[in-house]
Amino acid sequence: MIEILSPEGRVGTAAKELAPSPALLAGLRIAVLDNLKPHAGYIQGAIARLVAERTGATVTLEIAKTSAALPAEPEVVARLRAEADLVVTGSADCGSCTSWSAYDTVELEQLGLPTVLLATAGFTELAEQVSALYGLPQARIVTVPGPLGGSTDAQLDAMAANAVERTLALFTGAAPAAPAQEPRA
Amino acid sequence: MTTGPEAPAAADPTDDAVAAALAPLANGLAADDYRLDITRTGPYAVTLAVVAGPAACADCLVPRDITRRMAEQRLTAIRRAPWEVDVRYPADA
Repeated sequence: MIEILSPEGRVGTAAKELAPSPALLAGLRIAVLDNLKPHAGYIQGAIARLVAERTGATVTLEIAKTSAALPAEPEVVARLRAEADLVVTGSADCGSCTSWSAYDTVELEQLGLPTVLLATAGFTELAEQVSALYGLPQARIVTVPGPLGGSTDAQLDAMAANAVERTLALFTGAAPAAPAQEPRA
Repeated sequence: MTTGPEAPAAADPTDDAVAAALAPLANGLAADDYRLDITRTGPYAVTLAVVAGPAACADCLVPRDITRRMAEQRLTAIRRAPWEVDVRYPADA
């Protein structure tokens, strides 16, 4: 048998693994990482509290990074590592904030924190693509219809309520994360 | 899509295949009201011009390096080759 080797490298990053998913969330600490996009912190906090109510977990930290167009600062990541077992991050509802939220998500998963990224419908595909680019195509992404900016509290609360089951399943590994987007030739 | 002077040979990926590979990228940009103009500059070379629409916000644009890397990844998926991807953003104009 002749083995043919190609000198062409793969484009992208080596595959990474999700942090281990807990079977039960009771007693665990949930953090919210807000990127300060309009209403991001509100709906992420609402989802986190609903998950906590359902499971016996506790929301222990709601923290914001400086800008949606930047990764989370090291001191923010340090607090998440010290004060949380699970993270709800986002929001992925524009190109730059989706890119950096996906980056944060992959980084936090690599630190052992199961992390659910909140995306609006128009940016879920981009979130999947960027997560794949960073080596984690199976990133945990929950989609809400959006838009977040301009929505009322009641509308945001309804979106949060509808996102709870999926968020819970993503944290526990009961729901498959989105597959990587493969281009069609 | 426009085709440059170095038109790809029959065995090379077609313009349609390139456009299809880059469609998810274009869709993501469109969500922020940016248009992706693809110009084939060689069999394995493209120029991607990101054009702002009237509702585009400059701060919302996907970082350029992310756009380039995603394009390379998707193009490499249709044909393993050293693709040259030149990304031009509105600020370059």
